[in-house]
Amino acid sequence: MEMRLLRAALWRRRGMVGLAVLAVAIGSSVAAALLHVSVDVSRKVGHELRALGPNVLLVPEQVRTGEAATAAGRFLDERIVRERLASANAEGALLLYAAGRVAGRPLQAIGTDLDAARALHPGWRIGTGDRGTLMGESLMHRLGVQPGDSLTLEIAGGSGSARLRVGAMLSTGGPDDDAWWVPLPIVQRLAGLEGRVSIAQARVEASGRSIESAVANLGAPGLEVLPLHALTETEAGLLLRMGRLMLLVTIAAMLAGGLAAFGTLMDLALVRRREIALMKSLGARRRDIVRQFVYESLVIGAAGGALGWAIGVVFAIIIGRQVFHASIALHPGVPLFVMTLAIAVAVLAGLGPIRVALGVEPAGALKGD
Amino acid sequence: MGWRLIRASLGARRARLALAIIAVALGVGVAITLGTLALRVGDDLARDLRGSGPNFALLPEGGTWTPDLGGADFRPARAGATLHEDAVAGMKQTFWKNNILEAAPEIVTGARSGESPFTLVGTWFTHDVPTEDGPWPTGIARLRPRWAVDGAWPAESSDEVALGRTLAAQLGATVGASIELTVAGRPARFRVSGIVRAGGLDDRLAWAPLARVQALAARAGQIDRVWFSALVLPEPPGPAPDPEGDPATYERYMCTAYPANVARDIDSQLKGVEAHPLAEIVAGEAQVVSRLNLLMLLLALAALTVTVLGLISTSTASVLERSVEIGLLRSIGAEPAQIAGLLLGESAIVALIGGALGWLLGSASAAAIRGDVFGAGATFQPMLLPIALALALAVAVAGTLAPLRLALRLDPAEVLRG
Repeated sequence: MEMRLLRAALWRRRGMVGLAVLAVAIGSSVAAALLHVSVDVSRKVGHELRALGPNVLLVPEQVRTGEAATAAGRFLDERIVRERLASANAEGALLLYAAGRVAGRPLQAIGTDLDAARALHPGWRIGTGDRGTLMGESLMHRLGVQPGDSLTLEIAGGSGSARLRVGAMLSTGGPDDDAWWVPLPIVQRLAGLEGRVSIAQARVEASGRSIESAVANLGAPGLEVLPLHALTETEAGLLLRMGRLMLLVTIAAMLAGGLAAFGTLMDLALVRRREIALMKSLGARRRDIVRQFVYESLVIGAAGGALGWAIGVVFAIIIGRQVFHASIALHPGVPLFVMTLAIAVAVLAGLGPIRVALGVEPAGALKGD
Repeated sequence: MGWRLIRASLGARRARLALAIIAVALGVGVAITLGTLALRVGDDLARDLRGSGPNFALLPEGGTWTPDLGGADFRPARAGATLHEDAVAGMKQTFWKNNILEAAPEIVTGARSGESPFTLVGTWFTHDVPTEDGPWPTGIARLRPRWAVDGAWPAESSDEVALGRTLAAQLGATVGASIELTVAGRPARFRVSGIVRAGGLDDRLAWAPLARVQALAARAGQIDRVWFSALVLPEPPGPAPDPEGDPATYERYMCTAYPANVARDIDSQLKGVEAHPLAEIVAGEAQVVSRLNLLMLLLALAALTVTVLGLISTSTASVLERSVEIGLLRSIGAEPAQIAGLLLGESAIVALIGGALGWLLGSASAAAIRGDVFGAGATFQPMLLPIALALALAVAVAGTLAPLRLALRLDPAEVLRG
């Protein structure tokens, strides 16, 4: 009986009910989209921060006394560094600095894994040309060479030489512009330093766990881990700020969504004064009327919430693609929350007008006053 | 006559009206809040990221970088050129003086304390630079706010030194201790005023007041480089516009704070210097800021859409609710245009009051959020007031006219009968 009444009531006013479901759906879609995005935002933003370059340096442990001992610890063991980076699951590039010489002119040669270095420094601008070696912009101007020229590189204190092709031009705007970036094995061989590197640069993602524990993971005997505090603290601050901002924006958007649904639902209830009067005059009790309205609100809220969640997922996916070029993880708690929210808004919006309607004098309302 | 009708109608439905105004005010308020945030978030984030340190270096013209590390003792040709410390004040006279946030000059020299050699940097900590607009307090303490100092930075022109954490451990020095050091054979005694947690290899440096280090190194007035931090915009992809073919676009391009424009202007205004954007930092920050800006913009658009749809549906419902009244008006001979005028007049008044309130509300909440998240001061944007009013009006018109057409199509007799 109640079910039939409910079905009939919803069907008869399907225009208004449709409008109300749509209003709830629109409101909850934004809430759902924002919740999906903000649950995931700190991980995503953390990943975006890769653009800022390495945030940790691995250097030989400085021996505390005297110069002779310092010199002994001037290099890192390539094998240990690679193993530490792999076990801490950090991206890194190994660098071997060497004083080089080309046609009698001194220059700085840096041996590294060029692909890893490029991945670690998304801000590097690399010109056109072969990428077998990279030559810094100011060094290229100083030597007066072009990409594609061939030069013979010697390393001071080493033996032998290698004929290398000058690769694409590297512009970083910093000291890296004054060096010739050459594959690591070549510099190691020329300098007679097989298996040795000067430092390693790495990026540890700050989200989730603290950078300190990530840094502790990288440590090894003879190896000092130096986080670049200016950068790591900026990143941590940025993540915190973005999280806060997203929270506040989500609250604002939910307010807007709730408000949008609230107005329509209230109007829907208000126009039914006459119907309530009829029910009262036929002997319906207050409880029956309230139950009828709450059921209606439940149906509208649930339908709107479900529809809104589906639209919100689409929206979250679009935002993920556009902003982060990656998919947004769909959190299982979100649909539950959105449905609860939608039903709560629908019931709340219905209750006010019902209280007004219950005070209605049946005779007057039926007459049309 | 029409005006009296509107007044009477508004007066009769005071409660509903207040509700409608509140709905418009809240809706517009949320839209203005998110709009303001989306417009400002790029700037706020850029300023926040600038706390990570300098993004430009000012070098002597033709000078090259001294290779930063690696122990390869070697100085490239022409690395000996120097700058004069007046260059810092000079930067504040260029076109971009308002974009230059902080700066610190640097003179670098080798020093030795006992058996340990280290690098001593002479710099400003918080130094008042005279400019046209009064003194500009700047220096390393403001340029690198994220460096944590245990103790304090040295006072300007004092015999104090700040040590990097690693260096302090190596020398066994603590805050307040006195250390003996020699620069180019000249001995000096400094008091350790602070121990700096700078991170990376900077933890192996020592910093002392610029004038003291210049005197020790016998290089009065000279500096090796200036680090500075400037607010810049990411350069658009593609080549610069052609000055011949499109002078207006070219003009706008040249007057935008792109890193290359800032560097070029400083190069041409000051003699013997080269400003280098630290391209990696500039590009990295630009990318982060543009991504997050895009995120906020999309969210603001989404919230705006919801607000607009919500307000339209509210006003649609309120017109539909009045179909009896509309039927009555028609049955006593009102033209559709008169009825439309009446309803539009009503919703316009609601929209204008609600829109103005919403602007106030939105500006205040945006200021509160920015204050909470970024610690930024409140700035009201009067520019957004007409936008708020236009938005509310457009929504009111759209939300009134569509249902009105429906209501007018109904037969008055039938509507009145119920």
